[in-house]
Amino acid sequence: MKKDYEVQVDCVSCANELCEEVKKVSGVKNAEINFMAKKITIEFEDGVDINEVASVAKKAVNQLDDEFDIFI
Amino acid sequence: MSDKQKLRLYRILVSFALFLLAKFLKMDVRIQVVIFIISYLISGYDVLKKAFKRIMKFKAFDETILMSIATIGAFLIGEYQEAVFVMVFYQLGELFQDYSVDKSRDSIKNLLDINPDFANIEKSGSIEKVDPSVVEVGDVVVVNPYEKIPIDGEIIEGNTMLNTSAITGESIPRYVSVGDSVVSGLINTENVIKVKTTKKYEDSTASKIINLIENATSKKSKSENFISNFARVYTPIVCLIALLTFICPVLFNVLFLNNTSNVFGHLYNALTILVISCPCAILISIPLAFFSSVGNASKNGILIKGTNYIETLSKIKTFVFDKTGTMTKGVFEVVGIHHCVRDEKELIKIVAHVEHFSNHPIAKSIVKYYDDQIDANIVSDVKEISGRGLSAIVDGKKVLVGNDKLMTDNNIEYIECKSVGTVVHVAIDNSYEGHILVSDIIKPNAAKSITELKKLGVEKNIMLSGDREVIAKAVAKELALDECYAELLPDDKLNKIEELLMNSKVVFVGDGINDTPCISRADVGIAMGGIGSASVIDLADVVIMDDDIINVPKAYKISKKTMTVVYENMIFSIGVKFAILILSIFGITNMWFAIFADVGVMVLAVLNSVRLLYMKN
Repeated sequence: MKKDYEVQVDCVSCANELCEEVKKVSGVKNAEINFMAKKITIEFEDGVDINEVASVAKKAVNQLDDEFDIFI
Repeated sequence: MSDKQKLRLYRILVSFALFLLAKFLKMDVRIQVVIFIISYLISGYDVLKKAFKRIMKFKAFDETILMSIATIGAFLIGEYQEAVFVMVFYQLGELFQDYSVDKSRDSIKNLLDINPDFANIEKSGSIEKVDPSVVEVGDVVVVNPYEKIPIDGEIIEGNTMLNTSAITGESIPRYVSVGDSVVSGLINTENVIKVKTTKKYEDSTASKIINLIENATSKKSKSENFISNFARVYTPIVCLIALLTFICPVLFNVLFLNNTSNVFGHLYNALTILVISCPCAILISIPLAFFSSVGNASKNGILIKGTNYIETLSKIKTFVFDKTGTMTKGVFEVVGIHHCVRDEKELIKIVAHVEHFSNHPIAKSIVKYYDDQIDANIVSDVKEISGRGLSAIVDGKKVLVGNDKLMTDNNIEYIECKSVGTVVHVAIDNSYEGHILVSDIIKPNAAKSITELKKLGVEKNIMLSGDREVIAKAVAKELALDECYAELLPDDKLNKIEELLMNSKVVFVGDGINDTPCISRADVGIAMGGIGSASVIDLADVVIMDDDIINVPKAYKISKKTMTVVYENMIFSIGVKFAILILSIFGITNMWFAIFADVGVMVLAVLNSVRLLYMKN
């Protein structure tokens, strides 16, 4: 199950960092970031609560850098 | 510029002003140093803050950390001016980068502003303005002049001229009337029309296009992957080199020459190297180039669904075209009826009644020629025989309508047609009744398109057709094609593509509906006429929204120009960095030059990429 979210990052390497951090979140199978379109596509593991996992990802990303964000 | 960006700009300007003040005005050295420090902090405090946070969290060295080390290091060895200048210029570069990306995004957003904001639903006589997403399939919407068609559907009342430029890039308005299919995003220019929706808002053409364009930059091309990998190793390697540039000569001096002269000099060189340790120029300019191209292409009614296709397309030298509907209009016209038993009128009536049940362009042309009421009741048992034609019972008579293979299959002797064209043989109750000659018109820009492709470097232009050899050859000759294969069944066409794929990469250009397997199989599948069929948009790698074949060389040109910019940026950025690296190791250059060149290269690369947004084709 894939879902797109808008992200906030200000440079390409930051975008990649954000993506790597999201991939580490449990419940996330894979993630792909599109810097130019300002969005991330998260592929969730089967059976997880998507909104919950997305919230966890958002928090993780916020902690990484207070300029980073995922809009849920 | 956003507020945040404006603030950044002010900080940079104030900082630079202070810098100049301190540098050129005569003052006490201590005051000078203080002003330099203040100037440095004004432009660099956010960088320092970020770097500090990262170090505390043990994160990898990134540009903020490296810039901080470089500039603080410069301060420590007394190079105050350099430290300030590097920080100010670095921030200027970052601001420029930020601004360019935002501007590009805005441009694309404007281009993609094709979706309507409202729909006028007609329900039980009254008209209500609603959000387009609530409209159901089968609802009737009213589209007034100057309004956008909100959802894909069919016109049930009225006729008008539509502006299709938002979708096709084509400025010539299109006439539509009752029965015509229309898609969302088109602008009504003249009369009110009523449209019965056949889709939901989010599945309509305009929404689909927007989605596709946004996602096009998700699929990474080889170049983009290369850049990612390069960037990952570049920074650590450069840091290592910087470290060695400091340690090696100093160690050497201490161990072998027993002196510590010029430690600061070597430190300075090391710090200079740190200044160019961020590969931002390439990291931003390459995706920006692809993004700009995708945007520009969409302006021309060319949807490129992935940046990887831009890359692949630019390298391909073999183009394969379908004939009917791609090179030719696919709109056939009856040019002759060569009857031999019953009279013309009756023959055409019977044939039209059978052809009424087929969607093939040839069938449609015959029905059009007949131009009279079709009584479906007198027709039964209609069968479509793939690659052959149709059979049916009309008015109790067994009718066979199709090509010469259909006649031979049924042991009916037929008469060849002497003229060039598509021949539809007719047999009624197993007796040959004559044939109808139908001709397909070559698209006006077809010959020009082939010439353009050749000019752009295409080596082989090949045409595949299910039509007769004579006709296919005639078309191939007129268009100056290199190879032509005729009388192909759908399977044959796919086999031909497989054959060609063994030798080189292949582009296939077709009209979507009939050419699905070939479009999927080719390295790049280009479908024409996307505006007519939403399923086509899902299918191909590149979709040309209108039917003008001139957009094929246009797409090719865009892909080539894009890759040229990409390679230019790559070579230029990496080359300059490498040069500065070498110069720094040997102490031939200084920090001023390093940061200036670094930011300069980035600015040039970004500008190079952005101009792809505005290229004229």
